[in-house]
Amino acid sequence: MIRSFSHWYAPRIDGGIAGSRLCERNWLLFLVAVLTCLMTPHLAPASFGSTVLEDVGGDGLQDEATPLPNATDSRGPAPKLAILVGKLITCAGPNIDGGTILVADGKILAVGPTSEVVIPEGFQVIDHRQHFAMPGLVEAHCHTAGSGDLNEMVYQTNPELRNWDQITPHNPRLQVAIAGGVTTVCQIPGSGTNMGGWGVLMKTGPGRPEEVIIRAPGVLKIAQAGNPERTGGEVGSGRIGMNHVIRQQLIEGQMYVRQWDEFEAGRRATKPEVDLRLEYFKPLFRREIPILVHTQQFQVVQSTLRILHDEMNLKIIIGHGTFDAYFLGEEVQQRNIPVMAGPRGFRYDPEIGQIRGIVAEYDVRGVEVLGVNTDSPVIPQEELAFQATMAVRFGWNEDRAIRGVTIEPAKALMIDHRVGSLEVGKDADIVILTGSIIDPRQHVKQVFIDGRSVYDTALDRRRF
Amino acid sequence: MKDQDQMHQFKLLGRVCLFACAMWAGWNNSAQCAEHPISGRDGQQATLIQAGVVHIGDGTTLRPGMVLVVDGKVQAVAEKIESTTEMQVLTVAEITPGFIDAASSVGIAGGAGEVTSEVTPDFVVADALDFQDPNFARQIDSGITSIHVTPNTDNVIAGFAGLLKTGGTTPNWLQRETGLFLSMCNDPTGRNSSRSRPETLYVRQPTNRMGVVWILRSRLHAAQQTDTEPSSVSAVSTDQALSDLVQGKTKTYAVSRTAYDIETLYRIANEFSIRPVLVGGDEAYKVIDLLKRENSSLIFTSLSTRSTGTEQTELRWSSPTMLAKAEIPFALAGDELLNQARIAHRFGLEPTAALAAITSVPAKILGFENQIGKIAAGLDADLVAFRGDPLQVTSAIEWVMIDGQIYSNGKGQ
Repeated sequence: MIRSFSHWYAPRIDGGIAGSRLCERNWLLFLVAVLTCLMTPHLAPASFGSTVLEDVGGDGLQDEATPLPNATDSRGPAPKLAILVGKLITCAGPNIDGGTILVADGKILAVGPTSEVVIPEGFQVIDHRQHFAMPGLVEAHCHTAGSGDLNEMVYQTNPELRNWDQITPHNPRLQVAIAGGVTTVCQIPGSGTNMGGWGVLMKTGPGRPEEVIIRAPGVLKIAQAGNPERTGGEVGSGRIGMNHVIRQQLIEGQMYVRQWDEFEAGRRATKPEVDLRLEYFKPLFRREIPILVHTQQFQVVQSTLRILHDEMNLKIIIGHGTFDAYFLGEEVQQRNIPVMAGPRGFRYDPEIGQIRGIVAEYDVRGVEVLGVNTDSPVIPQEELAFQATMAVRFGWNEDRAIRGVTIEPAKALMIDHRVGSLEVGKDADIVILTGSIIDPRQHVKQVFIDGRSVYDTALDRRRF
Repeated sequence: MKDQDQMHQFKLLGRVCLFACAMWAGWNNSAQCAEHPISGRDGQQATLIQAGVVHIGDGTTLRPGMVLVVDGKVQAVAEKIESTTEMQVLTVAEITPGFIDAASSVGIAGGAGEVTSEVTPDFVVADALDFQDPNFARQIDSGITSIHVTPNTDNVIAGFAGLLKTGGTTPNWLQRETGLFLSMCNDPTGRNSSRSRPETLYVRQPTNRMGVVWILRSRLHAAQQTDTEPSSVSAVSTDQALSDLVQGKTKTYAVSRTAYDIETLYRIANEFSIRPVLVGGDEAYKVIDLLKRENSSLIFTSLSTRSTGTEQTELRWSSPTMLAKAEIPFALAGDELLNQARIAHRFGLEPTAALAAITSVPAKILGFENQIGKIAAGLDADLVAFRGDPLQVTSAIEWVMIDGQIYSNGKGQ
C-alpha cells in the first residue's frame, strides 16, 4: 500500500526521478538526525537510573520556524455588519447612490439607500462610501475549484461519476478568483467524454465542503461535439454516434426515474431497485437541476435543442455557444434556454468580413438569460469580468453585462434564490470595488462570502 | 547558476555521506545477520532484565525497573524483582517494548498488488510472504518486532493484510487476515491513466479519482443489496468479503493522503456505515476537526513516504505533534520507526507520545493491545534494549528480544 519505503543501507531503486528523490530524502533524514544530535546538549551516555527524558521535553526542541497551523478546518462565525457604500449595484432594480447593506448570519438583512436603512445596535460599520458594491460574481463553467480529476476517459457516458469528492475549497487559484470578485462557481467535469458526470455549485471562500457547497449535484455535464470525438473504431468517431449514446443514456435514466415517480405517486406497487449509477437522474428529470452542455456551432446547438430540450424536456444551459451558433438565437429564446457564452467571445464573419461579438449577437436575437464564462483555467478564473468587458467591447450593453456575470448565471444554474443579486434574504456575497466591474481600470477592494470578509486589500496585499 | 552549482555540490556531498553510511551499515549488517537467535535458550529459563529506565509503552516509566521474562512472556514488571540463581540476569540502560510497524511491505514476494482487477477483496497478502527475505533481519536490528504486511494501493479494494512477528524460524502470525485494505486516493488510476484519449476498450476505470469513488460506492452498494450466505466452497470469496465489510464483520483500513480524499473517505464510510482506520494521512493536519468528529485512528505514513505528482501532498514534520495535541490516536508507520519517532520528537512530539506511536498505539489500532505493544505482565516478551535515551540518535540498540529470545547484540546500530 505504501509506494516506496526508505532505509539507509538498502535503498530500493524505484527508477528515475523517484529513486533520486528517495536518496535526497534519506540524506535529509540523516542530516536532520545529525543536526538533532548536534543541537541536543544531552550527549552523555545514560547511566543506570538516569532521567534524561525529562530534560528533553518536546517544547524545548520546538523550533519557532516550524509553527503549527490552525488545527481547524471550519470557517468562523458570521459577524453582524453594516456596509456603507457610495454606489449600490443590486442587479435587482435600479442602482442606488449612497447605500447601506446590513448583514447578519451570513445573509443580507437589509439593503437600500443609506437614508432609509437604520443600523441596529451591535452592527459593525464598514465604511466603503468611496466605493461601489455589487453581488459576488457567478461563474457558470469552472474547472479550477478542485483537483485535476476532470475526465474519466474509459466510457463515453459516465452518469455514475460526481466531482464533489475532489473539490479544494479556497485553493490558491480560487483565492485569486475572489480578488476578481468571483464568489460562486459551477465546478464541472471536463468534456473528454459525452457525459462527463455531475458537477457541483459552490462558493469560492474557505470552509469545509458541506459549508461551501450550494448544491450537489449541481449540474450534469454533457459534451456533444469536439472534445469527446474519438477515432479508432469506437462509437463517438462521429456526431451521429455521439448523439446516439447521449440519447440512449438519457433514455435509460428517464426510464429509471419514471419507475420511481410511478412508485412514489402510488401507481406502481413494487418498489424499484436503487441503481446508484442512475440515482442523480432523479433531480435532472424532475427539472430541479440543469445540464451544462458543452455545445458550439450551428449544427451542434441545433442537436442540443432537439435532443435535450425538445425530446427529453430537460432544463439545459448552452455553455460556450460559440462560432455561428448565435444564428439560432431566436430558437433558443423561444424555449427560454439560458446561454453562458464563451470563452471565445467573437467570430470572424466571412460573409461580411467583420468581427462579430458572440454575446451581442445572442442579445440582438432576444436571448434573455445571457452571460459569459471563463471555462477556467482556459481563461483565468479571476478574469470573468474581463469576459463581460470584451462582450461590451463587441457591442453588448454594460448593464446587461453586469447582470451577465451575476444574476443571469445564477438564474441559469437555478440558484438565484441564493446568489446573484443584493436582495434581502440572499447570501451576503458582496464585492466592494473602485468602480464598475466592466471597466478594466477598476479593481476589487474587499469581498464578503456568506457575510464573512474573505479578501480585503486593506489587510491582504492586492492579489489582482 | 552559481547557486545551482553549489546546490548540486551540496546534494552530491549528501549522497556521498549517504553512501558512506550505507557501506558502514551494510558491513555491520553482514557481520551479524540476525535471522536466527543469537542466544537461543530453553523455553523455561527465566531472564531478569535490570534497566535504568523501563518505558512501559503507554507513557509511563519505571526508573529504575526490572522485567522478568519466562517462556517468551513478560511475567513481571516492577521496580525491584529478586533474582535467583536460575535466572539469567541482563543489565541495560533503558528498555522499550518492541516496535510495531502498522504499515509494512517487508517480505511480500512478487509484488504487494494484484492488478488483474480493481476489486480483489479475496486476495491475501499472507499467501505471498517470504520469510527468508533478508529485510526481516534489518527490521529486527532496528527494533521492529511485529509488522503489519499490507497490500499496496494499485487496487481500489485490495485485499487482506496480515500481522506477524519479525523473529522466529517460521512465520509467527498473530493474525493472517487482520482486515481489508481500501484505496481512496489516486494510486489505482496510475496504471489506467491516459494522457490522451484511450483508443481501446481495454483501458479500464478508474482513470481518475471520480472513478475510484464510483468503484468504491458501487461495490459497497452492491454488497449492501446482497444477502450473502456463507459460501460452502470457500470462506473467502469476493462477495463474502464485501458483505462482511458492509455488515461490520471485517475490520477495514483505507489509504487516503490529501485532505479532500480523507473527507471523501469519511463521506463514503458514513454512506455505507463502515468504520475504516485511516492509513496515510499526509494532510490529516488540515482536517483535524473531521478526524475528531469521526473518532478516527490513524496509521500515519507521511514521514516514511513522500507523495508526489497528482497526490500533491506535503511533507510536514510537525504533523505528529498536531495530531497528538488534538488527541487523535496515531501510529507512526512505514519502516524506520525509531528514526520516525526521533524526528517527530525533534519537531515537538512529547517523548512518551513518540514512543507510544510506535508501540502501544499501533497495537491498539490493530486490536492486539493484550499481546504486544507494552511491557506488562502476560504480554509477549518483545523488547528493545538501548544504551541510552531511545529518542537520542546517539543511543545504540543493545539487543532486541522477540518472544523471549534475543536476536541482535547491537552491532547493527
